[in-house]
Amino acid sequence: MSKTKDFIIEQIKERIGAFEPKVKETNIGHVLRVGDGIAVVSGLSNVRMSEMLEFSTEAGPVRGVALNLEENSVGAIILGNYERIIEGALVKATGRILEVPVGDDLIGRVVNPLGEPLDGKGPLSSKEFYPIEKIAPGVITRQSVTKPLQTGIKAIDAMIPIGRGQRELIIGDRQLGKTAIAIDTIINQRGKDVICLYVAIGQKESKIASILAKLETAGALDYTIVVLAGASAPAPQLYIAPYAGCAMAEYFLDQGKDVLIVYDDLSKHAVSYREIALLLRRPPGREAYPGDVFYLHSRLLERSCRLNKENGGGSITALPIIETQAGDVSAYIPTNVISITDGQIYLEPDLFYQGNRPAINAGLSVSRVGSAAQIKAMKKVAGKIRLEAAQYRELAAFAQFGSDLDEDTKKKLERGKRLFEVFKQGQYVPMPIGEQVMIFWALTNGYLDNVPVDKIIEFEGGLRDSLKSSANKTLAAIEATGELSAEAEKELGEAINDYKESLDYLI
Amino acid sequence: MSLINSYAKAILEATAETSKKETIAIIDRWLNELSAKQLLNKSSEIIFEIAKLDDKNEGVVRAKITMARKLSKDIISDIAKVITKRTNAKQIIFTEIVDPSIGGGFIINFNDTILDASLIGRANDLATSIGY
Repeated sequence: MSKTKDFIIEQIKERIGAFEPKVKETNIGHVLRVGDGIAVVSGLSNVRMSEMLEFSTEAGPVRGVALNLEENSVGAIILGNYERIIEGALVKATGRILEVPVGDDLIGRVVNPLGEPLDGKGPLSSKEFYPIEKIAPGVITRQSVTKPLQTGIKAIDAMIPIGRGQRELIIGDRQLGKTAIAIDTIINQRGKDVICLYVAIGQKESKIASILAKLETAGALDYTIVVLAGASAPAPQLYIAPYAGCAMAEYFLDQGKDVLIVYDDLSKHAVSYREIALLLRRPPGREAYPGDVFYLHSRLLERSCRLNKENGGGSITALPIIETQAGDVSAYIPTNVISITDGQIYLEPDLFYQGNRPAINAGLSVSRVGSAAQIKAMKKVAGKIRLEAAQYRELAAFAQFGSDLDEDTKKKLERGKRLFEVFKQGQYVPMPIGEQVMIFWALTNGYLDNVPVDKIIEFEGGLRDSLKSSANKTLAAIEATGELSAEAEKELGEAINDYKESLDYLI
Repeated sequence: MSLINSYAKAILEATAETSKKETIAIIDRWLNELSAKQLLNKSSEIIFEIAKLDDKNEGVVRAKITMARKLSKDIISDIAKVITKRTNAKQIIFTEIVDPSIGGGFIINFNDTILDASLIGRANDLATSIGY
């Protein structure tokens, strides 16, 4: 007992002894104007750009960030309840960049952009903080993207592969399944040692609630952090949300881990920044966005990277989402983000309404990393897939004008129809890479040619169930080694033929 | 430069080397200008800015000292030296406030700087440093 007492006293003495009392100097100012999430402050002569401020209110301090440094005043965004701040209120500069809590404690939690929990699961015990703004890793610390990040979506993993450390834009009109692709990708990371972050910017709270329920049901919350700045949150919170999410991701990057971060969506982020910029009276440019709206997204997305082994070897893969208006990809923000990212997945309304879901336009979607981010087995089958998809698109357009087609063309059209049928996939059912390789291999080797087009989905489901018992080892070997050996091909062929013998609808 | 600052600077510059009579005439014209631009409601802010600019031009610094109990003249003079060194002030005008709630020590407030050497400030810092 006395030992414990001595230890406690020693600890108290040590901690108090380490404290060096000194005169504390604080740079201060006073609020001149306040409203709509921004404040104009006088004084603060030594404040720096992006420095965190503390506004004094009766209900305690409210945080803000200095954004405009002018000759006689400072323009700041307010991150708390700005209605409590009154004209003339004292503002203190903190000398620090805005920081958010980071760490393993955040996994499975829903937090706001300041890192405050929103899920009612109690306070966070995180003791580490990261600044929300950080200069992206330089060239020397990076390495090229070579390791795949499987989305579990056949059309993407086969034709638009995403690698760890890549930035792949998901773009399309509203209600075409952009978020669904991102959520499927998160669900597919189960057991793959990837930490996921979903940053909701200006999304409806009802939509977030259903996403959370889905993630929980799929067990994806065990490795996912949700940063939520809902539609009702003030513009400053929407503005800092992706940077806060990125800071949380950088913690895991520094631990040498792989991270996937979804920014849903950057169109609303740009709109919130436009609102702040206009309120701060920055000169408006095209579509009333301020001049630095490109830098707004480029500095965020440049923080996604794959570090080399000397720097831990971790990665941040970013899936930014952009919502277009009436399919206009040539608008200001979409073109900006297209040019920043390493490729885009373009979702098309026509495909969606024809029942092709996910409605990915294979022609306009690209991945600049390409087959470098694919396992060898997928590379082997996907090369043919891309060619067949391209041939089908060309021939299908041409075939509309003529009825008399030669055998070879008819064959290619039939194969193409089956291919696009195989690309169809339900929501929240990502497919393991081994099974993806199997179905594409079966297609390119003609095993699906005598299956009626309208029975392809049924055939695929049955085949997957059948192979799980008859060729489970082969599928597991493909996933483990990433290769498709001649032996495995032979076994797959036999297993598929066996399954087909049990069917009665073949042509 | 803000509008208020411009008007304050203008009246100070215009009346810098004028006689009393000329100054009154300039002030009248200046007020008419404010009235025509519907800026009379900003007059209190402009007056505040005039005082601030004049202090700056004359090298006057106004400092507020909040102390737990009345400080000796020697300490006040030491404080004045610190402020002079930091601001190059020619004259320092002190406003002294005795507030026992700060526990001990003092808090100096000048321009846009606070120097906190109070007991309550140190206690708060200690609490922060041990993560309370």
